[in-house]
Amino acid sequence: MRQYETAFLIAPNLPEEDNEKLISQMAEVVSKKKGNMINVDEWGKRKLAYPIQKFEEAYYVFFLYEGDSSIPVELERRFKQTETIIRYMTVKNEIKESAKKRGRAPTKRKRETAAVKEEKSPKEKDAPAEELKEDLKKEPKEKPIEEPKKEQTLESKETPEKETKADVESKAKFKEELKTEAEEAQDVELETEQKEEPKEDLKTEVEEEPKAEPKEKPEEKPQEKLPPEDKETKEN
Amino acid sequence: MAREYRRERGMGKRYFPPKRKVCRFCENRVREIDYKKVDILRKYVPERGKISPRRVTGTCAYHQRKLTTAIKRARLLALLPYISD
Repeated sequence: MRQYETAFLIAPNLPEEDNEKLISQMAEVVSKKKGNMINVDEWGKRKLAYPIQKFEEAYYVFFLYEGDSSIPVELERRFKQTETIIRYMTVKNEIKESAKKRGRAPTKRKRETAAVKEEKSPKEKDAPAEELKEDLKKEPKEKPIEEPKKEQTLESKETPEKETKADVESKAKFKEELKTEAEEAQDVELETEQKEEPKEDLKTEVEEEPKAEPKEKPEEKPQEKLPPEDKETKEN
Repeated sequence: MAREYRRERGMGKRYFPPKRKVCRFCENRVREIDYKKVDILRKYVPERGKISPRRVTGTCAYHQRKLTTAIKRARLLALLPYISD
């Protein structure tokens, strides 16, 4: 058992009824394979950062579920078959796992998981040894909440809320502080761009005084280490 | 040579050591960076669409690693551009 997050984009020209059908079809896959759907997040239509198959918009849907590795495989197989899905991506969910780790000291965690392992070992035989630790931590907290309401889990969102509260708080703080920082970052970026032209001159100078440069002129480092052409090629 | 250079660049102003930058994610005790939180990721992707380097943003190594994967995931889903001009 592992948590996965599958995102897929539906073509914008599909009527909304069909969207719902598609989403419920895909959600069925999870339930058929005995997975536990934790959350379905529909963002609705959203502008794409770049055109995909000549579409400028797409309908974003996110599935967060728990289960066997065969689920994402089956989902992706279906995504490939349906032409109206223009992009999909599955990710192992690390956010939840780390959120639970966060509260505990590392040594304690080891002891606890070791203890739980012994208690629950018969249940967990199916899962590979590496995943045991993470899974064991989830089980005691989530199962009591979600098992009785399996059908409602889509709407109830009980477990995600716990995270998101913390996340939202941190996010809010984060945003405020990021504003100033982003400005700084942009400024620096601008500076580097402006200074790209005299690059050759700089290089020669840098070679002459390699020690003085990095300490005294941190703004000008960019050109020395990463010529812009290299960057672009990597990213493309 | 060094002095000439500095005068030329610094326009005769005194040199001040740069303000020490601190990783924003560490400050807020964020462990994982979600690829869906586009507003945060955008701060680290200036106009051109490139991921801004650690030396610019002051992000720590751990979070820079998380950031890059998050940004790359967001790019796949067209939440962020690969390139923009």
